[in-house]
Amino acid sequence: MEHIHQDNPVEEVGGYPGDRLPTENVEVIARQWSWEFRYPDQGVSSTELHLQVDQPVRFRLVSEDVLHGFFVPAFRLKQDVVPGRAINFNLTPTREGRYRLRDSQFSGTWFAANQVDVVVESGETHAAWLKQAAALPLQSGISDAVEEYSKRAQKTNPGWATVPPAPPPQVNVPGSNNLPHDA
Amino acid sequence: MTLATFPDSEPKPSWSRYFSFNTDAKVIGIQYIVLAFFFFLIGGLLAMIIRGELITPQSDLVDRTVYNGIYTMHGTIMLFLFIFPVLNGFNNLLIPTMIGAPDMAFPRLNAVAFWLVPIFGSLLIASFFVPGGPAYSGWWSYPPVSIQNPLGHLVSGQGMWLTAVALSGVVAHRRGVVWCVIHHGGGEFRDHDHPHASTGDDLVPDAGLLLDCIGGPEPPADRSACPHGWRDHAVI
Repeated sequence: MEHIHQDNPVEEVGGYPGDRLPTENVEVIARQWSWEFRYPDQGVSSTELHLQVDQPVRFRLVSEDVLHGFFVPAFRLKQDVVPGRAINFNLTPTREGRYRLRDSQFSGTWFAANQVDVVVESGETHAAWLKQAAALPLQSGISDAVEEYSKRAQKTNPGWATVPPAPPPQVNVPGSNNLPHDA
Repeated sequence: MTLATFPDSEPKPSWSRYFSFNTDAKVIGIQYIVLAFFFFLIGGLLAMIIRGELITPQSDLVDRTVYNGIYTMHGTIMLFLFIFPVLNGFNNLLIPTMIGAPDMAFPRLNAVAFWLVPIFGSLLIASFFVPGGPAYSGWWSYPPVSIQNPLGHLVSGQGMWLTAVALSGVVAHRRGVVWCVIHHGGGEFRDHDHPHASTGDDLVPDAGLLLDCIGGPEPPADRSACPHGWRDHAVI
């Protein structure tokens, strides 16, 4: 039998990454129209999803208002978020990079703008991010809908009626909605 | 010797019958098709606005609320006011001829079903002009987003949308009855000289599905199971 030396053989960390039990929990709160991510184990919240590469993660998906869809096209994964229930959803990101999370169930006026970034990073970077985030004070997170809604009120002909967007979530890390992303 | 005399040919019916309550399946067929193409033009105009907005990724031609409303109304119009009526039109024109029957099973029911189309069509188009604009939750109208009523008015675009679609369900139900009965009970009118001619029976599952979808009665599985009363009524 051939023996291959690897820097970090999969046997050492326990089989294929997707076979292991998740160690990280992330609560995803979908709203009209923003995404909020809470890391209950570290006491961190964000409007940009940060994940560790090759590390299974367990999501708890909840919606505060209408149907939403948790959809990361680069992951080829999508899960409806249904108001009134918490949905468990596990995945294991396998490539580092900056991706895009989109809403995939029509959720009203700013449905198309309800997008944030997903950052898949190495274990060290992820641990450092969590540590740094926990020390930051709460501030308003990303909500393009809130920004557009305030500009819309100044227009003479603002269009048809809309549900007002929920206030932006108060989070440790707002993140950015303007950086180039891989997919 | 007397020459045989023939009765005067009947006067050509007036074109205005196409705008009246007419029970002739061929007239109803034309009525359906012409009305369907009228709504097709409206739906197509909305599609052009949608495509205009989509020329660029930015939301820059119309407001997001207007886009969602137009998108919803485009889908609704194309389904409920174009595809369904135009198929009804072809069925009215073709089925009686294909199975050798003089008319559809219930001509008056057939005409009533047609005239509901302009009624619910007007209702749907009128929803563009109520405060707050038309329905915006897509032609599928999933709750809870479809029951969010931003202005809180009793008469809302979404409410009018729902009423119009419910009326279109009544049309579909009546059409289903008319089809099932002519297929199962209209056999007496069949062309017995050409028993293997196309009978249009392939449409029966479709009509049965229509009835099924809206909770109506199941059509009989085969003609022998058809209640005899249906057959008797087929010539009303």
